[in-house]
Amino acid sequence: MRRLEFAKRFMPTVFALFSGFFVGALFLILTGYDPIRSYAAMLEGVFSRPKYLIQVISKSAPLALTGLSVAFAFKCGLFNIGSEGQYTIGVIVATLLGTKLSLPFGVHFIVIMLAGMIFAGIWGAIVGFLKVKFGINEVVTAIMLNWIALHLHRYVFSFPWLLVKNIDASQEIKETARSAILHGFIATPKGQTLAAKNAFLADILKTDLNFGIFLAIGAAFAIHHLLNSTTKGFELRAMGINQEASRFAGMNIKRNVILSMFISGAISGLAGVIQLTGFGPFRMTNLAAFEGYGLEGIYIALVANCSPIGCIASGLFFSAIKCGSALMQIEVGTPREIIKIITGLIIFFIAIPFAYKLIASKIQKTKKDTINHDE
Amino acid sequence: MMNNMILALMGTLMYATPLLFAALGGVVSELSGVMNIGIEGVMTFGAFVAATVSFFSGSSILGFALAGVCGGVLILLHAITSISLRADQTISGTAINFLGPGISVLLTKKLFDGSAFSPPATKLPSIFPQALANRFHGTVFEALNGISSATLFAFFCVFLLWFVLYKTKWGLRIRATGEYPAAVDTMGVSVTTVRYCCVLASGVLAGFGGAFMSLSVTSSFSPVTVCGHGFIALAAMIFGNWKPHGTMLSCLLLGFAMECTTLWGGSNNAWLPVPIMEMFPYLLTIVILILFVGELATPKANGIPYVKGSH
Repeated sequence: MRRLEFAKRFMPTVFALFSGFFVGALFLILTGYDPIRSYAAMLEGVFSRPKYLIQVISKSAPLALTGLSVAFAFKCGLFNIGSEGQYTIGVIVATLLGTKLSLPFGVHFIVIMLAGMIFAGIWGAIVGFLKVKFGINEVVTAIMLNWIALHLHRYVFSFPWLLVKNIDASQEIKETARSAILHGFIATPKGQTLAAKNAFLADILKTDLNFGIFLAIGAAFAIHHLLNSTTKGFELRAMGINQEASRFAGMNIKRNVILSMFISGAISGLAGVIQLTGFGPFRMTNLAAFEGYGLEGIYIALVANCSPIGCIASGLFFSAIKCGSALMQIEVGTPREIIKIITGLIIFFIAIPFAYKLIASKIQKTKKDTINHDE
Repeated sequence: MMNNMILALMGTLMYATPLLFAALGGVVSELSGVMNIGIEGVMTFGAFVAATVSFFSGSSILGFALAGVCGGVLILLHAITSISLRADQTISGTAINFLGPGISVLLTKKLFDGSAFSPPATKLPSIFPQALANRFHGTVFEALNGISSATLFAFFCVFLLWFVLYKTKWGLRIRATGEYPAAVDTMGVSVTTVRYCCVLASGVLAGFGGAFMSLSVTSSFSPVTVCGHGFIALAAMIFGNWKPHGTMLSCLLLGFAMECTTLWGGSNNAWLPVPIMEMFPYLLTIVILILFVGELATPKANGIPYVKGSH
């Protein structure tokens, strides 16, 4: 019985993922690329070396977090399309505090993390505030704030005291500010001898090892706890299901909307902090367009069916196809954009639960018909 | 002075045109009760089709027309999922926003040897015939030659849409479908048909908007050609109160804001850093919404799938 429940819950998602890749393959055939070789190269780019696998896990942290951010907002009945901007604010704060502040190891990162989360949270809360105070649709404000954050990023990037002129990037953030583990260890004599002895370790040490994924898992469990085991969480979920009813029950909707946008924004900000402090080159680079982590958060949340813990798995999955597609483009020559198409298709298939019900009821009907017929 | 004013006017019209097409698309779709945040993705696809077709055929008008057709084809997916399959329209629209740019960039790379940029496209023709344009040569009116025929077409669309929506039986039905679909159903008019037509029209218009972006604004297609104009158009639609004429005014205002950014950014004596000035259109949108959103007439059934027999 439990297995049936399990299957019922996950079947639509599995079906959507499978269909996405299947239709994506058809599209590849139509445009003259080899889908089997492309997908094989993608798999190879994930599993063929321990280095790749570790990289997939490390890189899943910011994705899982933006996914968590969007999923949490969805649970509260809000669509946080502004995750991108909040992420950017996290990056800006991490750059400024990481380069200019001098604090001991450990404390420095915690300060950056909290500051990044608070500022990004405020960036998100603005959306909530404008929604409850003036009734402005959160989607429009959030998108506008994304663009404002992007230009703010450009503005900060133009500060002469932050830039290194000849490499077109900001200064490196200090060692104490990083969430990366053992970065640069392989370049030391000790690391060299270890790498010479053990090829496996040498391979892993070349990746962006960082503890971001543990923070992501921690955040996911915290949100899970908040939503399912606290009174506030109950209020927020109630608001997500029926705002009118929760208002009638005497809950303060206005405050709850702002609070949930703050929390959602803070999580996206954490993603930005981890991205900057956990991965080389540890510098702010010039952005021509959005990095896309926030938009990716939307489909990560959808595939996870908005479950906080599910966002970790979903983040891992999309990190895998993202990392795998890099090797695919190099080895087979299939453009990386195919994963955007596959993702779009997956979202479509997830968006149509009614279609599954329709199919299921048709199957049941035919079953009944055949039984009747047998009698 | 006169020259500067004409230049500013030209810039305003140029920036307002793609917004106007896309925002009108939003108006048609949302008045019939289908939310359409996929406009951004459709615009990107339209921009790609227009730039590519005009490069290979040499005709920008053909590119423009086909961009509309292809926009309609892409939005058909959104129509099927959100009308027939009763999907969540925000999610379905988001899917379009991934699919449109994905297909466009993949095909650009396929067609132009791995480059994500298309070669320079030919501009859409000016409204003035060559003979007349030569007369303006050397006068203050020379800049007027820059008015694109598509801009004129966009304003014609405003009039056409206003006429259809407010002066014809079909317009009444469309508006009723977005307000109270059960009533339309009772009259024996198919809600599904009305909504399909409106969503398709919105795809065609958004495709035109994208085509104008790549043909006449940036003059080639790249992954950042459309850069959020679809979303800005949605804001213009809301600010325009879901009315064609209101939307026209808000698009002109936003176009003017963008032109101001360009003019200030171009002059050397700028007292504000360029990135801060580039925030202006987005900040203005938010301010406009704060000031005006209170009196909005959002279509009541917007975003809600219609199930026959329900109220």
